[in-house]
Amino acid sequence: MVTGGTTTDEALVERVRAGQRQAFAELVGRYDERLRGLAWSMLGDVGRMDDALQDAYLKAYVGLAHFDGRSAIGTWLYRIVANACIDELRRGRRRPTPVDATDHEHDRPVERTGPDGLAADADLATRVLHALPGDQRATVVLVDGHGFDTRTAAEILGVAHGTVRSRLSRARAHARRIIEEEQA
Amino acid sequence: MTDRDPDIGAVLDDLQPPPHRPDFWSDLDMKLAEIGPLADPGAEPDRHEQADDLVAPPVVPLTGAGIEQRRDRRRALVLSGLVAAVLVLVVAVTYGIDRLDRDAVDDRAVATEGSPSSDATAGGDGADPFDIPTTTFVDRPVPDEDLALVENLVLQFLEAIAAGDVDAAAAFVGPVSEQRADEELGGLDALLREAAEGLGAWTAAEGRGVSSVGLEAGLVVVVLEGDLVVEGMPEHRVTALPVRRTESPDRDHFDVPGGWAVEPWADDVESPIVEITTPDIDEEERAVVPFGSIEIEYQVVPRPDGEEVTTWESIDGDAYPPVVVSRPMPIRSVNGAMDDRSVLAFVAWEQGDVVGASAFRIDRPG
Repeated sequence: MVTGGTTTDEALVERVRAGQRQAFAELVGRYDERLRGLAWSMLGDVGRMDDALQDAYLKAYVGLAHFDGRSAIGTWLYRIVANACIDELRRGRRRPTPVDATDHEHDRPVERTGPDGLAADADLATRVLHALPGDQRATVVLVDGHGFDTRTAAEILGVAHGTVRSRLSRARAHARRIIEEEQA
Repeated sequence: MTDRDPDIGAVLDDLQPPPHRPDFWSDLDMKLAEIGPLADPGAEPDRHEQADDLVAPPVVPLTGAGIEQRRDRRRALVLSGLVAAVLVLVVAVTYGIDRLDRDAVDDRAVATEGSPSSDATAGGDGADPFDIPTTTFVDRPVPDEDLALVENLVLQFLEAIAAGDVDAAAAFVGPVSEQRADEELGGLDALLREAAEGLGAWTAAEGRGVSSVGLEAGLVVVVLEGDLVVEGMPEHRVTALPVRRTESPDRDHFDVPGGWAVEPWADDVESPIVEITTPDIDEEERAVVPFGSIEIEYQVVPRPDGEEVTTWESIDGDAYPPVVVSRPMPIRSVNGAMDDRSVLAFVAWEQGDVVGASAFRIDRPG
């Protein structure tokens, strides 16, 4: 839980429910950097990242009317953003592009050079994530990137614990192969 | 506690997100303004508020007296479940209702002996085909009255979780899950409280369906399906809960033949991995299969202790013969025809005292 000085998350939720829209911006602002990290790792494109986050934040705003606090607000937001990113990957509204840690300039598309769409200068993290299907990518980002335990990751992704474990196992095996190739 | 892989985590640490586009927040604010202020959640009571009205009783400490109290409650709860199950059976017999339509399934199995066939194969790395019997369905190893009892037990378990009655909920938890909860997951009571939002949400599921399949004597999988509202977000879900008859001394006093107990957390980090690869199941546990045969493929990776894994698959309320696997391999089978209906399916596994199951719904193309 983020307390943000004297204002707790719960107090912000109550203010949003009372009609204070700016309180919602303050609430999501507390988690935005981490949620951007999740969306960026998942989507690798500034436009798609922002589209997914806008969708997610709008859903969160509407969903706050029924948020009963049984899970932490951060976990709940992670869940909404993860689902929005998976939806965004499925929709494929734009051409698929790899995540690229070095591409922080707005409106500059990631250069594609190969049939798999991988940027020529893509770094290792980009290549690892790019090689994974969306569900495995989300799992490995949550557990290995953001440090969630597998049970919380299952809660965030809305899937069974065993599903997370199997996805993680496959994702890690794939990732290790790429890392070992790099090191070789 | 973290399950983070340090090597992969170190690689992923290199990813730093860029800032939002300049108009991100103003654009969001404009969209929020279009939605308007949130409705006062107190104005229109919903299921969540009803759930919130439930007051959790004080937790009974795990002292000798507390355990004895818990045992007494177990006895009372199981007995009440037994009474309810008997009533259900009486009503079903009286009105000729077979809720799970098992007779219809039997007719189909007899009328089409050998088809739908169970043509399971296991391969991978060019391995020899792994044949399993081609009989239609396994015999029912669990009597119908026990299935009714087990379904009722699961529903009581979920009600207790949703109500925050940790003590009552704990009475239904099997010994493997209980031990794992206490040793690895921060304690059973805490886990049951955390489950209020997950498993507990099933008590308020829209269009909830409950069915059960006996896989072997003493092992039943109960499948729940419905639309859950989790923290305000509606989601279709299908879940499978293994229920086992335990010989734990803690349940010897049960006034029922043996003691059925739910095992929702009987898998652990060392458990075998059973991953369904075909059909493609989405995040709402749905898969679409064209008309024609239903093909299910799943990858089995046993624990590295040499103990065999037994797996079952179930389509539409019936279980196909189990497959025993002692090394990593895919299992593929063709299970009859996809007709005009949607069907529930699950894959379950057991290795020693650990057990798990994954369920999903198969729809025909829209």
